[in-house]
Amino acid sequence: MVEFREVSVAFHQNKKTVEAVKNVSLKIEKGDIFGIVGGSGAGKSTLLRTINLLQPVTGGDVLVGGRSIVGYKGEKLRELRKGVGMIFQHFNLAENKTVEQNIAFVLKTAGWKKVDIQKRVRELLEFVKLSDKADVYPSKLSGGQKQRVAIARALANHTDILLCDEPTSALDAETTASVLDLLREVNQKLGVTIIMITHELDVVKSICNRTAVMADGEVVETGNVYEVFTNPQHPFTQQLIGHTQHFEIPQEIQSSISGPVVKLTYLGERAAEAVLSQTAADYNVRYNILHGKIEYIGTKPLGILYVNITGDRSDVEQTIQKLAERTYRTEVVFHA
Amino acid sequence: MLENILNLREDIQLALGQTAFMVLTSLAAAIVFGGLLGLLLYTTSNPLFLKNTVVNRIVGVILNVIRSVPFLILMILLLPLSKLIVGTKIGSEAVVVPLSIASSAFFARLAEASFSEVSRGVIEAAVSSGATKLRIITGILIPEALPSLVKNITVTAISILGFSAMAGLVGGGGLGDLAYRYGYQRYQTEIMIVCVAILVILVQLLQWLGDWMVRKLDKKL
Repeated sequence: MVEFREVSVAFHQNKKTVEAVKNVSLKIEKGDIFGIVGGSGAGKSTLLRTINLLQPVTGGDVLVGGRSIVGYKGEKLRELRKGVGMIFQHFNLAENKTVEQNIAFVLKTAGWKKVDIQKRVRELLEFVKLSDKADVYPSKLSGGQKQRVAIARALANHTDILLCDEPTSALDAETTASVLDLLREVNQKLGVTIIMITHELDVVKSICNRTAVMADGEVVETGNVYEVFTNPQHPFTQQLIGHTQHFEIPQEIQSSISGPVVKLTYLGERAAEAVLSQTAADYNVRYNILHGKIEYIGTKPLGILYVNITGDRSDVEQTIQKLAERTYRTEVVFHA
Repeated sequence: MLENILNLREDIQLALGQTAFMVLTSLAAAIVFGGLLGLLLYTTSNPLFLKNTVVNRIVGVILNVIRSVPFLILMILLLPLSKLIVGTKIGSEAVVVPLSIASSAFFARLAEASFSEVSRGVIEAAVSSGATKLRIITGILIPEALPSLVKNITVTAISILGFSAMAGLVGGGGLGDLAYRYGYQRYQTEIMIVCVAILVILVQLLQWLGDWMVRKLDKKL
């Protein structure tokens, strides 16, 4: 659906050249909810804007629906943009237009007839559950409602690609969840391919199926969200994900325990229970559970458990070996 | 004292008419030409429209030159132009030409500022929808800037009212001229007071009308 081929974007600022995007190659398939994550200044916003040429590229090629778009100008460029919707962190609704007028602007632009516009606006507002807000001005709406209107506006002309520039970063947790639910619905019911940039890992975890991690203008890691989250390869990704999966062992425990502390990562909600009780019996070791949690990536659970193992040295070593075989990942994170 | 005022009732009415004519004509010119120049300044400075530094600088310098010449001097300098455009170098009609040019230059800068206040993101959203530049200007930029434009039109109208007081120098008449001739030259202070009072009321009316329109137009609150 969208393909980046060795895309580079450079800016000239004060006689210096800043490379915002360096040699990025990515392929986004039809029906994907593709999340591009990274810190601020990583170049993700610049990369996203090359898809509708709000940002011209300085090298490489961008393909949308199989066609190279980097040379598009005038009418051809406007036609491309009519098929690619976009939503923004700060919603960017026209403040002096009602909800209906905001959406109608896009439809007028695309040459819709007046009667069809009215019908379509009603249909869209029903979809985003704001049917009663047609004649309201944006200043009377909450952040979440504004983003819903923005989504309706972006989809108005039956767009099949939706670009999302930090769509939930200005929203609180609860509203974020409801906007993400709506985006999931847009993807599943309308078959719209969604490309989203965000600095919030939780957003990617909850709705994306594929992801790319950007650092310093480059894509450092890409793949299936579950794989990237359970087994990050690049140090930057490990650090990024570490923040949410890391557990600091309290000082008091560090000084009072003997034997190693092991971090177990396992797939599924209850996968660890059996192996723990079995090894405890087989090798005569004792477990002390320090910390545990289950995260959901999309709908798939990922379990994390920190245990302290005590017993004979050789028994403990064999136990760790056994655990490594039976869990997704076993790491010794501390040794007293 | 009251007698003096009553005797001059017709003169006051005439002066009020001349002031109104000068202000309204120049204001209309300022809105049209100043507005377009402001739009030109804005679009040539914004990469989402028609960024063109050369045009922007040239127009900017011309406007600055006009704005730095004191109105009294500008009026005298432009009298030949008045002769060319309205066929006379004296009277209210002749004053309207330099007054329109000065107020257009004045309003152009204010209009540019009004357009610049429109959120870049809102413009970007319109660009991303595939709208033409003209449609973005007429459909998004101007409606979004309108409350601020009206505010600045009010400021412009009041400053034109001030400029128009100098019209007497070339026989343009108006309230300022009347106040000067009777109030200052003939020591009829009461005429001066009446003229100034009328000007104060006019300014208050303009400001009130402007504020009322802004309140009607602005949906941001």
